[in-house]
Amino acid sequence: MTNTAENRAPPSPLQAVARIARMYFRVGLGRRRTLWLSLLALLPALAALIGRAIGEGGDEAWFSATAVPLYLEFLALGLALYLGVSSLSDEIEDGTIAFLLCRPVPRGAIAVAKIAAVVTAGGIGLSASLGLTFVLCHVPDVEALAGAAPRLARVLSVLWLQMLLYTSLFSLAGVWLRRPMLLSVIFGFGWEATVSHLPGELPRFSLMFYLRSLLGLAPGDSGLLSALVPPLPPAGVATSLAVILAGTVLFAGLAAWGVGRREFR
Amino acid sequence: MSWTVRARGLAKWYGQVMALNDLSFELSAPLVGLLGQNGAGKSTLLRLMTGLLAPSQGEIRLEGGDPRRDRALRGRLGYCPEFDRFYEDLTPVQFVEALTRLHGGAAEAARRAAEEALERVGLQEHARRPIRVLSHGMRQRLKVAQALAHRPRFLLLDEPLAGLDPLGRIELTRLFREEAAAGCTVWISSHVLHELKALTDTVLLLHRGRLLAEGSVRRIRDLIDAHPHRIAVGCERARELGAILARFEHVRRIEFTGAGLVVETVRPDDCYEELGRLGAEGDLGIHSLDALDDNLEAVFRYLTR
Repeated sequence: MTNTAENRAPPSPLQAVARIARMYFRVGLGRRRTLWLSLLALLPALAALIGRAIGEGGDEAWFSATAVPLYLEFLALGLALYLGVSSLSDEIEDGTIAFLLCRPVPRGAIAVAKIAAVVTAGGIGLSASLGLTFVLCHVPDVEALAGAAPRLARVLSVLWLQMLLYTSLFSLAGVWLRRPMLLSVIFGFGWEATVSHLPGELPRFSLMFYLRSLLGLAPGDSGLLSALVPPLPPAGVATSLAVILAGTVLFAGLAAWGVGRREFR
Repeated sequence: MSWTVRARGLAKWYGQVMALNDLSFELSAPLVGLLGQNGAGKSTLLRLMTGLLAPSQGEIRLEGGDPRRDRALRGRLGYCPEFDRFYEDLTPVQFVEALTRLHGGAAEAARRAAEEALERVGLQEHARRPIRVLSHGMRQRLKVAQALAHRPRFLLLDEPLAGLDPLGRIELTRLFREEAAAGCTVWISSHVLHELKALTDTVLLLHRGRLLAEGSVRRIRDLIDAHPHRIAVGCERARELGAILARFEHVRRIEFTGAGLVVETVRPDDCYEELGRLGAEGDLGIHSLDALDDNLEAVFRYLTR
């Protein structure tokens, strides 16, 4: 019997996600922007190295106070924003999505695969960079290195969750919005990065607040304003995880639904 | 056996723009040509047939199934889009293999199918170079290869011969005929009647989103042949080609352009044959043939009068 399209069973939804994600991963690796983003992700490690060399920063205290917020509020957010938005919207814009939409795969699998590929690529890059920065901030004190390892594991877990949450959110923007990048930058760096630092109840309405809460980081002290409105304590671990996971499922689900529903010319 | 395509009151509009208007037909033929000028609605109809678009009104069925909803049906289609966009950093073999895997089956089988399809379209020598370095003609062939690799039952080809050199046209035309002979239903769009004439006698003629005529290519060809036909020839040695063409009785006028020349003829069949022969010889550097849209315009004016 010949192996025609007629006598081959189409892949299951999970297989479809894995196969499309693998293809995207391969496509992403070949792009020049991957090199630039990898170099950008290494900036904190470079800062740690310079700090160690000039004797200012680059130590354990610097890692917790400066490096971790830098990853959380700039690098991971920026990476998820840029890759999340562009991964789907670029493909919709240039029409290559048609090559996938005419195949026997659930259309939603395309969005889920894209999110999976971005999270995997971004997560690996950030983990490698954070690990390197961590080591640079602790060597040659091996005991301190070992003692701080649980903290590193916790930060890594939060970064992966953050990639998952924000990539889903910004992919959703890429599917539905006409100018997704501009609006996502305004939301990401305007709302998310700012509101989570304000005193009062407002941080509850930002996703960053729950990510920061998992690391025990409370909204910052804003001087006069925090004298009038007391800062919010970090949310509990269960609440934070529930919000992050529910948000991820909701955003990824809506992105998948959008790819299934929308028409692409 | 050929698949039956049935459209009932099919319409598609984008905002205020009507792309297709009240199309109804039922057709079952091994090879069908979709003929019309740019903007006639050919690509929209093919995209409705692949399920990429949903009808604004009416319905379209392929062998009784709805391509927008029926995943298994989509698995038996092969679609070659008109646009020239790819995942540029992949190689042709990676590109075709990855897409073929989405039809099920093991990686090794998909790799073999991809290599076989690339060989069939004559791209085997370029199978491992990045797509971004391929010429326009090679990219056209690659689009056909990704549509063929999973061995579909129904091929939908949107302007697959546009901008190809004469040899490429001959090779791909032969390939489409082979597919149809092997039992695959082939629908092919073009704005060049003479391209379609070499493939089939069954044509749907679209004009401004409406179905103008359905059936024999001969009648439409007779109408077109009554009007002078203009062919743009991309060529490296245009002066020498012009000198050769000027000797033919059917050539009315030759106009030199930056990229080659435009020849006006009253016997397009003969002219295409001559150009094909000269192109295959390769001495004059003929790299593209394009029928200019105004050939059909006169016929449309006649039919819509």
